[in-house]
Amino acid sequence: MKSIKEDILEDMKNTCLTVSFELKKHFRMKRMVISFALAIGLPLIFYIVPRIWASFPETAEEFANLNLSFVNLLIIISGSLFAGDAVVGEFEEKTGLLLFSTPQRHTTIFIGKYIGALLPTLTVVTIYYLTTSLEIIGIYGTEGISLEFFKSFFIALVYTSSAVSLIFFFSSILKRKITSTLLGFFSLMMILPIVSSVLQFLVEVEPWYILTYTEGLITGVFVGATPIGGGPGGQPGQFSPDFYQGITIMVVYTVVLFFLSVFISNRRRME
Amino acid sequence: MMSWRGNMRGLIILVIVIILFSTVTNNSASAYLNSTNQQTPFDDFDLTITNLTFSKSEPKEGDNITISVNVSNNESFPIPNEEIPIQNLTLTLIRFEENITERKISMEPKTNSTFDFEWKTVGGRQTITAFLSVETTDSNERAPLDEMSKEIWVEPEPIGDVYSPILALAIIFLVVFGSVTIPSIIAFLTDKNSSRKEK
Repeated sequence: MKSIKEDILEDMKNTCLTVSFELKKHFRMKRMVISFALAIGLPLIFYIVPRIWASFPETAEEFANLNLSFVNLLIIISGSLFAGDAVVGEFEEKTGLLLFSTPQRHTTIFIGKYIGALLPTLTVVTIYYLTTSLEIIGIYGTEGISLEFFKSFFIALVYTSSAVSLIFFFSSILKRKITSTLLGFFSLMMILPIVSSVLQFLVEVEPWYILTYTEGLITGVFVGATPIGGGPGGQPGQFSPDFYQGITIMVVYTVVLFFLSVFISNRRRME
Repeated sequence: MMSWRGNMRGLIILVIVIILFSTVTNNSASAYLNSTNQQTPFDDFDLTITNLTFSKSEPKEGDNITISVNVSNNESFPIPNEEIPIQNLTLTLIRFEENITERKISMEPKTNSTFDFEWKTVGGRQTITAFLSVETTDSNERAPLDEMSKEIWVEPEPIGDVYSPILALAIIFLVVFGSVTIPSIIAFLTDKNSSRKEK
């Protein structure tokens, strides 16, 4: 009989195996190339277009605010790409018949799949911020990188985790890859922002519990810049999310949806 | 090859959907600004805003500052005046599209008057516009007379701190990576319980 220590180490090894398999799969399917290209290409638009046709904003904060207003778009696209078919794909394509018959614990497979979707999405966001920071240094010098920029970066990473959790959750409950990917994409892109707008403008209550509402913090920390309202959600609403409450909501979404997804996936059986 | 093509096709559809969505949601822009560009029936009036000043040049967010608006009436009659059909002369302060405050004023002939407004500052680069308008007795519609804008930088209060999102991220990693150990612990505990029962 194995000791608990050996058991944990074996589970960790198996999880790492699943993560590396998932990463290889994303790489083979060119998802990594597409999303990394987007992470470099999108912020470059904000550099090249003003350089040719217009002028840059007066302050680095305004430039960062403009540029990062669209990072949520990239989070949603890459989150849908990497997490949309993570669990449902195994059931739809019946590849689970091979995977689930291995001696590896099912829980470690699903945790590995989650990490395998989370890591590349976090990398994509990091590349986006890295490109933006290089642009800021190029235009405004190193003093253009403020503490707010780092705040925004870490908030974007937390938001990424919660977005991946939501899409992964859809992947664990739905039966088709396309439905899961589209539902994940559209819920973050349209459905939740619409609900949030309706609550703000028609019901006039603050939708603090809606995930996409808290995403406003990514650019909301640039207090000196005029809100742009780019990306999903459109124009700025009449409320703005509270910093600490927003972060707590993101963490709660991430953790609860992650555990729910793993629990549901574990109980799912091949049909 | 197929998956590459499939991904590209999916990406193109996504981009089209995003462009359509952005067009639909961002179409509510300059309605207010357009409404202020109407032709005024009082174009001949020599009633102008001559100056707009702030009591502090670099205030901090939340400070109460005084905005002074200087209005000059070069006409030979007072305004409002019953002889000419002007009911109200209004001076409005606007930040973006939002009214900060407005006040009904009156001007003696050939005078300059300064009107002070108190404003609790909001952080960031703010454009304050003083807007002078009149209402006629015939209709209650407001017609613009003159406007003047000035920018002011208000030192904003920083939102939150950098440690909280780092801590949040650490919690997420701890939970996700730590959850790998949960099945082993559960298995260990259930094995222990069953062996106790067997004994």
